[in-house]
Amino acid sequence: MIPLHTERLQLRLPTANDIDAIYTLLSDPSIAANMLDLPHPYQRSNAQAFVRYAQQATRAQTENIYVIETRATATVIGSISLDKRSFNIAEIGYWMGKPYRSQGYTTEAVRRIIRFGFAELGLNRIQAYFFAHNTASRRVLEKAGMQYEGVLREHFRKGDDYMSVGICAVLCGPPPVNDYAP
Amino acid sequence: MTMHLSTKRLCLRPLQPHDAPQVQRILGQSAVVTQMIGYPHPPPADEGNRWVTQHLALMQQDARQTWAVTRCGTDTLRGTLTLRYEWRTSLAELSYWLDAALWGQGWMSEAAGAVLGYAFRGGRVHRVYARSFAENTASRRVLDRIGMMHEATMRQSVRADGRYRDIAWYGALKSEYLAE
Repeated sequence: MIPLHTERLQLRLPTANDIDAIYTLLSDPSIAANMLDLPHPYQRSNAQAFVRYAQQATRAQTENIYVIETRATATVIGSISLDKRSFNIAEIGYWMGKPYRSQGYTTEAVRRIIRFGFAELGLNRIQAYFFAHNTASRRVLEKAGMQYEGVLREHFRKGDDYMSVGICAVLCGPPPVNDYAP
Repeated sequence: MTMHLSTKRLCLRPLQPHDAPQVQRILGQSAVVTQMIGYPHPPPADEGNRWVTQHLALMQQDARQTWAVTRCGTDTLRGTLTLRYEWRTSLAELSYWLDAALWGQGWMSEAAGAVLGYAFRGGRVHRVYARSFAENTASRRVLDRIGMMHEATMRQSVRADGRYRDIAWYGALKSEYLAE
């Protein structure tokens, strides 16, 4: 997998060297609260399994899974994935470590993944689900050029709770503006 | 066990093996099949049998319930309604089709209303959802009439007949339905 670059970030395949960083970031309960199926409490073995899965899925080309790291310090700050579905649709998933939020990093990574999906994978539609209560995530997706399409009420189950999920999507078209091209 | 349901004009009974010829006939109507999401058309020659056999097997497995729509006092299948269950999330997807000769008379609104009521009063799901091609105004009117809410339109989210198509999603919640 070819790493993707933005002005401040590199998106690349996770390796065993990232396990400690991923474990530390995902141990924060604020991430599990906004994800459907993240193990909680998060164990180091979960981070190992994540890296293994990311490598296998990416090799099998069923899914592209990246860690997001800063170019300045090569610090792993989050992860983003693009999961291909039928009809040239792919779904974006991501998480960002707590210390690195509100700095535009996620938007930057999402924009880059969208450009990659349309230009390199020939996708027609890229979509992302988010818990409806997670307005920050919706803002990120809209800033990255996606359009809000609605909310499926109580459509998913997390533990004993039914979760409403919002959906945003972008269709293949002119590339997003203000993007950094290396 | 799929229950018999009735409305003012219609009787809904469980799908039966002898419905295959009627299913075959109606799925031969292009007005019907071109509005079915993810359904290949035109259907093959033995589609009636395949469709009925598959749906009966899924009913046996408690994965779906399918009703035949009939005019009360007759046995002839004129349409079907299906609840496809997703037990892990305790929800069901409602889908239906009706002989095109009977469109525009409110049959499906009656029948779908009865099935939605059954889904919630039967107590096994907390949510029912349905999907329609966004341009299928007749089907969307049915979903509006029975009190389902238009929740989202996913643009170009399936491909059918050589083009990407928008899908309208509708949902109803048991908590709201029973409160009304």
